[in-house]
Amino acid sequence: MNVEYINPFVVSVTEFFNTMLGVNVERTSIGIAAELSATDGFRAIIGLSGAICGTVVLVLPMNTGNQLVKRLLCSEEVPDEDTLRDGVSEAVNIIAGNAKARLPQKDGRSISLSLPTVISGNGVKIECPSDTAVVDIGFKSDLGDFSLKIGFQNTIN
Amino acid sequence: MKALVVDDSGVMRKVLIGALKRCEISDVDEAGDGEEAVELAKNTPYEIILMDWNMPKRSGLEAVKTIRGMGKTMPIIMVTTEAEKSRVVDALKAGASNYVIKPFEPSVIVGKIRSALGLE
Repeated sequence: MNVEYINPFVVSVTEFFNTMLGVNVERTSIGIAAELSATDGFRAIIGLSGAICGTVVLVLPMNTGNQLVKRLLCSEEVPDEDTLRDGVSEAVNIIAGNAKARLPQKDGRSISLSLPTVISGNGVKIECPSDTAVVDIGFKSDLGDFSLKIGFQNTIN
Repeated sequence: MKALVVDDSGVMRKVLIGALKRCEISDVDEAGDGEEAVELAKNTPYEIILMDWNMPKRSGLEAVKTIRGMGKTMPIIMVTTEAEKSRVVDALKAGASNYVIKPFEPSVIVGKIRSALGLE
């Protein structure tokens, strides 16, 4: 997998946590994953289409998701479920949107983002098409560990 | 002083309302899409609008064009993840007064609001 397509997402995650949350974040791992799933917590999903096609999943343990939304709102109040879902979906929207501008341009074609979707709870398997390569990037932060999974369809290999 | 915050994310609306409060603006209406924003702007004399780009029903860009087409001259600050230069140019051509790219530091949006309203 070409790093030109991975680094924009690492930079974007770092910028989001640093600037909007005032939180330190560090990439801890990177590797190929078999699927986009995670065992539990929030999975905030957004699709890429156009010059690059794929799926981006921000995987947050419940506690990290809670902490993220509280930091975003500058509030110590425990967010309700709607607010939590809204907050983590906005997080993946900002991360993917910011990365989009840093991705290599292909023939001047633009990239569009879908509206984000959030899945919470246990035991959900997120499948992707067979021609998709999934990269799993692990992070540690002051709010807890989390990961970003990116599934690119084979057009960019 | 009355403001309108337009974003399909309720959390982001709260973040932006927090920024307006730091500028001592607490009379704020909210809209979740561009269509609702246009309807509200028709009848209410807002002194500033903070506008997202990608929203259901009508985009922020289309809403800015429509609001300007109604002869409204208040500052409109686009607050969006759309970071490409061409997008910024499109927004300014459509009538946006300023542009803030998400993610932003809270002090940046506060500075842009103050500057747009001549509070500095």
